[in-house]
Formats: sequence, C-alpha cells, structure tokens
Amino acid sequence: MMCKTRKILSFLLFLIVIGLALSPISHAIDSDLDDELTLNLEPAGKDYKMLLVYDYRNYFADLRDSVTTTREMFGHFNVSVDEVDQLSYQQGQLSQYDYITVVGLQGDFTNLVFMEDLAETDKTVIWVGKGIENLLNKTSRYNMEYAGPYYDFTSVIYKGENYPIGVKREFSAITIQNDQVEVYSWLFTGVDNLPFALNDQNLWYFSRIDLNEPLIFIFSDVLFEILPPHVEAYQKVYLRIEDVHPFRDPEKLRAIADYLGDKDIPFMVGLIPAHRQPGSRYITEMDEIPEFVEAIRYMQERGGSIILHGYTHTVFGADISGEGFEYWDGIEDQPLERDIDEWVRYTIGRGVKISIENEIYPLGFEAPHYAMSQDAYKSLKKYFSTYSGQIQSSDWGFSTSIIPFETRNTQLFHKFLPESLGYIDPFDAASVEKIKNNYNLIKIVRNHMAGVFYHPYLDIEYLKELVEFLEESNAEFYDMRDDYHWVKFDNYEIVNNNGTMNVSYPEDRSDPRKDLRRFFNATTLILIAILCLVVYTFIKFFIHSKDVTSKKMKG
Amino acid sequence: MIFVDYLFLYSMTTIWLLLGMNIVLTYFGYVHSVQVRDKKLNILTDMNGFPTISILIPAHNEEKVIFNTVRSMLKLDYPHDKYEVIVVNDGSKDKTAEIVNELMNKYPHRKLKLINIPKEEGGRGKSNALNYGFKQSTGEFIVIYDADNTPNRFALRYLSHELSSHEKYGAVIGKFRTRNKERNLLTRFINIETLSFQWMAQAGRWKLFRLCTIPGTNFMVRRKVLDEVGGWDIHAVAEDTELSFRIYQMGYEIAFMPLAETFEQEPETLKVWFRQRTRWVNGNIYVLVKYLKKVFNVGSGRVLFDLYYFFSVYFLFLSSIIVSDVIFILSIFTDYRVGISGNFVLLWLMTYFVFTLQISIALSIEKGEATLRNILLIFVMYFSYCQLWLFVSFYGFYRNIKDRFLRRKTKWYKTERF
Repeated sequence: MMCKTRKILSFLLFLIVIGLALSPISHAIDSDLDDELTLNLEPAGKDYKMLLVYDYRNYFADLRDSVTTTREMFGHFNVSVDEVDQLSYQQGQLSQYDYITVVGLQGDFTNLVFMEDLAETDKTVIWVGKGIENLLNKTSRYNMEYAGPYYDFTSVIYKGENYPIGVKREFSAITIQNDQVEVYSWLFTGVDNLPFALNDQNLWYFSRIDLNEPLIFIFSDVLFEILPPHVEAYQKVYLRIEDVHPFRDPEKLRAIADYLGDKDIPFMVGLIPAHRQPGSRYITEMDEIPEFVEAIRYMQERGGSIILHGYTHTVFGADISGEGFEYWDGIEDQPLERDIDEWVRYTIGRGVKISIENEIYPLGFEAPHYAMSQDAYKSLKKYFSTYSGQIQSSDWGFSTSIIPFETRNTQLFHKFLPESLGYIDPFDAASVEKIKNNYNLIKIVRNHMAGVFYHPYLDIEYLKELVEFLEESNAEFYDMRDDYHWVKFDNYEIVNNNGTMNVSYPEDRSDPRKDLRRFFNATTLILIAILCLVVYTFIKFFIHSKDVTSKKMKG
Repeated sequence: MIFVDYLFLYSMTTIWLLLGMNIVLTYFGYVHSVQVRDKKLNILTDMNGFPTISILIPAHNEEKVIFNTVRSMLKLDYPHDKYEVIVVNDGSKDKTAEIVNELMNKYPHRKLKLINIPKEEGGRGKSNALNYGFKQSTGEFIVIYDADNTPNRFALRYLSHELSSHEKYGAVIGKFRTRNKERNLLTRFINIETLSFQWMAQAGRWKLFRLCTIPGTNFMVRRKVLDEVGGWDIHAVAEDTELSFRIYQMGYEIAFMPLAETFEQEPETLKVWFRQRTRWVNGNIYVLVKYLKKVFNVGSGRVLFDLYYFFSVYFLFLSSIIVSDVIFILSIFTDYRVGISGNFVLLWLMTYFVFTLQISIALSIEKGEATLRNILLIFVMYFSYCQLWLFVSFYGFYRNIKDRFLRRKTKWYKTERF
C-alpha cells in the first residue's frame, strides 16, 4: 500500500512540475525577427508648397472645421500646406509658395495687402467659397463677374451626371463672360445653370466650400486637374470588421475570416484589445481569452490586417466596449481634461504591447467613434503611421468629416485611409442601400478610396450581401499588407512594407501582473487536472471500500 | 490586477491549501482503515497482558445518563480486577451521586468509586474534575469517558492493546459514534460529520504524522505521561486539544484505534449544537493562540503541521470565506469585481464533487453508513450544515475575545443531555 501511495504522490508531483514548467512557455517565445530594421519616420516629403488663406474656419453651427478638412484633403497631392488667417497674411508671403488656396466661409477678406498680392500673382490660385468679389474688384484679368449669393440650386452636374445636392444652401454665383473660362461643373436650379467649378488662367474657382457629398467629391476630383497627386493612382475599397473585442464570438470571427479568405478578399479588423465589463473597473485584456486571440491570429492569416481600435472603447460616454469614447469626452462633448499625451501613450502602449506579445500585428489605428481631439491626433502620430476612418476636424464638438482618398504627410497623419461608405445597421433597412449609393457617389473621384465597416455580431448574410455588391461593382479591395505602415511604441516596432512585415520587441517584457494572471490560469488548470485524478482515485476507494464493508456485513 | 483580485487570490490560495490538505488526509485515512482491516486483530486472543486501567467519568448533573453509562462501563470485557471506574461528581445538584451510590451497592464486588469534589474546590470545569479524579486513580492507563457514553464491549481491550504495543504512544484515542443519529436531520448531519472528521482528520493525521487530537472522550493515556505533563490545563475550555499538544510536544505519539468505539449522544437541537460548537471553537482558539506564541520552539515538524492545520481552519479559511463572501456582495452592489479568469465553474463543481467523495469514503468504511440517503445528505450538507460553521466560528471568535477581555474563569460548560 505504501508503495502505491508513493507512486501516486510522485505522479501528482510530476503533474505539478510539468504544469509549472509549461505555464511560462506561452509567453517566453522570443522574437528572432530582424532587429536591424530601420524606421523611416519621415517618408518622402512633398515637392510643392501651398499657402492656405482663410477668413473663418467653419460655418455657423457647423462643428466641422472646413479649413482643417480642406488642408487635410490636400494631403493626397504633392503639396505641403501652411495655413494662415487672412488678417495675419503678410505682404509678399505668397511668393514663397507654389499654390495659393483661399477658403471663404463668410467672404470677409478685409486684408487688402493679400488681395493685391493675389491679384498680381501668376501662381495657381484655388478659390473655394465666398469672397471672390474682393479679388475680381482688384483685377480685370479674369473673364467673369460676381453675381451675388444664390440659393436655388437643387443639383450639380459633373461630367454629364446630375447629382442632387439636398438642402438648399448659399453659393457665390459667377457669371462667365467668354470661352476663356472652362467650367468643370455646373450648378442647376432646374432652370438656370451657374458654374460650381471653373478655371480661368491661373484661377480655379469653386462657388462654395462644402464638406458634404456630392460637392466635396466633385471638388476633390477637380483638384486632380490642378495639383500633381502624391499618392499613386488607384480606386480601392476596404472592408473593416469593426469593434472586435475579446468578448466577441471567436466562431463568428473565424467564419468571417473564412468567407473573405476563401474569396481572397483582404480586410481590416478594428481590434479593441481589451474589454471593460459593464459596471466594473475591471479590464479583460485579450490574452486572457486565448480562443479570441487565436481567432484574431486566424483572421490575420486569412487576409486580415489589424487596426487598433482604441484600447477598451468604453470611457467618457458609455460603459460597453465598442460603445464608449476614448480620446474625447463624450459626456461633456469636449476634449478630455486629462493629460492627453499620457493617456494616448498609456492606452496605445497597452494595446500595442498585448497585440505584439500575442502575435497580432496592428498596422493602423482608428479612434473609437473616430472621435479625437486635435492634440490627441498629434500624440497618436508618434506611434502610428496609419489611421483608418474619418476625421474629427475640430475640438468644438464631436463631428466627423469624410475625405474621398488616401492622404499622406499631413498635419494630422502620416497616412490616412478614409472610410466614407458607412456601416450595416440592422435597424436601418436601408443601410445597405445607403452604402451602395455612397459607393456610387465616391466613384466621382478618380482616385478614390472607400471604406465600409461591418460588425461581426451581425448575421454574416449582411456581409455577404455587401461583398457581393462590391464584387459586382468590380471594386478592387485595398490590402494594407501591400502598403507601407509602421507602428512604434518604445521598443515595440512593426514595419510593414509591400508584403514584408518586420516586428521587433524587447526580449524581456515580463509583466508581473500578467505573469501572475497566467500563473493563476495555469494553476487553475493544474488544479482541475489534479482534481480529476483525485476524483478517479476516490471513486475507486469508495467502490472498493463499499464492497468490502458490505461483504463483511453479509459474512 | 486590482485590489479585489489580490484578495481573491488570497482566498483561493488558502482555501485550496486546506482543501488539498484534506484530500491528502482522506487518502491516508482510507489507507489507515484498510491497514486496520487487513491486520485482522483478534482482540480476544491477541492480548499480551492486561495493564491496570482507571476509567474517569467527570459528571456534573448527569442523572439522565449516568446510570446507563456506569452500567455499560461495568459490562466492558476486561478483567474486572484490572480496571476501576471512577465517577468524579463535581457539585451535581441532581441525583447523580445517589444513582452512582445505588450502583455501588448493586455491584459491591466491582471497583466502582464515586468522588465528590468539595464545593470549595469544585465548579471549575471538566479539566479540574479530571485532575481531581486522576489524583485518586491507581491505574497504569487512564481512560476518559463522558457521562453519556456507551463504549463497545472490547473498547478497553483495543485501547490498551494499542497503547501497550509501542512505548512511544503517549495516548490512544478510539472512535466515537452517534447514538441518536436517527433522531432528526441535525443528528444525521452530525453523524456524517463525526465519521468524516475521524476518518479524515484523525486517521489521516495519524497515518501521516502520527498524531491525533484527543477528542475528550474514549481515549486512553499513560499515567506516566499525565504525570509528566502535570494533568489538564484548567484554564482551557478545550482541555482535550490542549492536552494533545502537550503530549506531542513531549515527543509522544497519539494513536488512532478505530476499533475502540463508543456511542455518545449528540445535540438534537440547533441551539444546543451551536453552544457546544462555539465552545469548541473558543477552546481551540485558546490552544492555538497559546501555542502560536511559542511557535518557534514547539519542537517537531508534526506539531507545526498540526498548529498550521488549526490555524488554517480558524484563521485562514475563515478569513478567506469572509473575504470571498465580501467580494461576492461587493460585486452585486458596486462595480468592484474580480476579473481574474479561469474555469471557476468547473473548478467549483469538481471541488464539490471531491468534497462529497471524501465524506462518502469516510462513510463507506463504516458498515451501513454509505447508504444512498446519507450520500444524498452529503450533497445537501455542503449548502446547509457546512455553512453554519461560519456562524459558529464567528461566535466562537467573539466568545474567545470576550473571555480574554473579561478574564473569565473556566467553568462547567456542559452539553445538554436528551
């Protein structure tokens, strides 16, 4: 009996030892990847310079900053932009630039020095919006006349297509005097036509600064007539699986990966690496749910590129991961009051670390709800080359602006991959229809990038409908992996360049907190294993002992 | 990781240490039962001598039970000239003394003594009564029975055979069974509990560390040992636990002899049960504190183990249960929640299963105890009877602190007889 005892005890000990030995393996795998990669934080700069002069930054009651949005749009082209308030413009300032863009929201160009410089310059001038009369009064070289504000347009005609413009709004009407003027787009009242976009010698004129479709698309497309592009020519669309947090069903994620993978459609995964339990302070980071991590890795294998979508996506507004804000105070609708640099650093640091440590390699970032204060963008730019989504162009309140193409090297981003088609909302029967319309509209822009997103908890049939539509439209899917992106946080680096990804991270990155948790998880498993053995042994004892005692009774 | 998680870890760890300890003890308890069975001791023929024995029965208002108890002592199968029965009557206000006198008249040739403790020296509890009786006893081995006990006929033979088999044994304890187990649900629970306690804690510890805790009744101790330790500690409420510690400290072993059985009455009402148990907790804490103070010179590792066992039962386990209950309540009413993940549901289910199995094994060792009804009762016990332990421990703690504060003297705490 004693011998048997010893055997069982030594077996238990063996189990414990094996269990303890195995537990650290999961996080001790080191990176043998190339450490010598060099990070190109400053990709090729821009060759031309543009001065952007404005009177005001936004329309009354519009939270979007028209100047910021316009400036960011120029990021698609080979120009770097400096912006200046028309009042601060200094005489001769425009001579240092290749292009001058004037953005007029009220038309109050009171700085005469600026108007005089502008009237005399031969450089390309792009005038968007109100106040053109100030220039036309100074010079007679242009073959057009200001015709005052005009409200009655209902549609815009561009390249032979007529697009409704929705709510009536104010345009600064121009009448043209001869064929020297080339009109690119006409506004239409149903009876009258007046130009929306025209070119006369060095002047390009747009009769309204407008951030809404279809006008912004037409403006964007006409820009290709004016400026040399910086981004290579392509028309692409991307699909992003959105709000993927650790408590999403791994099976559904795999099903999506399989569906898209089988079709060879690259996609993005908006990954929220941690989940905060509603009503709790406790954050579950994804590595605590191995099935989830495996599902994400599987998505990665099947053509998914990871976009870090905040850290928990739960603070400052809502309590559920995927619902709250993170870089914007959604309750007071204002920038966060905390130290934003520190906060961005903390959340992004955690997200990047747990991702890389789990062999998940984000290539871009996307703020929860696309909400970010301007300072937060600045801070983010230190860590991520690439941003996916829409732009919050001001700190006046939460709003987002769309841009129809990829931009590079702007004030906000190194690289911006816009999403403008929207998402599938199961409560909105027309949402797929809306996406289709948006897609047809964005095609106005010759080199466009269109993004669309889909929540993985929905029926996969929605995704199939969407994908089938895009396939029928012969859309080309954007694959992040074929592009250049980097992520850098302390010693954690990911550089993706045209199909090759280099990852480096510190070898020693033990986190006592994590180690404890892992240890605990492993111990629980070992305990269960030991218990199985105990249960087995005890059942045997019980049966045996009962046998003996009942025999004794009979005997 | 947040504070709640650390608390949770603490609870998990201490609870599991104790559970693990109990699993090991069950294993060894079972091994012991098999060994005793396989030894096939024939107590009628295998005795190698009959040392003289004194049976001490402390009595304080025991008129309801003393007659039967003394009579069953006289009926024990042991040479009549080799054992004496001493009833130590400590100021009974009922007919205890008269009944014993009556019995003495009825059995004039038997060695039956009644010692009445004078009023000025009495009323100080069981330890005092035992010391008093011990002084007037003559036996080489001393046996203690509570006034409500009915030992089996061969109990003395088994105890003395075991005690005389090894010089190192300072004492031998027998097993006690519940006489009134069929009375109600409470006594059935107590029956299951006492059996599992004896087969797990007593037999297991004996097999593993060669020590047991003297249960207060049905045990035999050498006169020499009692002389050396100077009798019972009259300040101890749990005089038996206290005595056990002193016996181990002297290097003696306390053996478990499960064949020496006694039947005793267990509380039939919750109130009586509660009073009895809180007294035990209070008494055990007294002993624990007394010996924890000198933890560095208690001597052997096995004593340390026993101290740790008590310590983990009364301090670590209790605190863990409280902590985990607090965490549970916090999680309902606030947003403090444990976030450590793990397969807790499975773990818990297995724990529950192991708990049931451990006790089932203990029952299976006894004839006719591993019945379906009893096994179903174990499943229920976890959620009912076992949970009462929390209140008992709490109140026991409270009483211990109160006693310390008021420097209350020990007196007779007696479990009501039915």
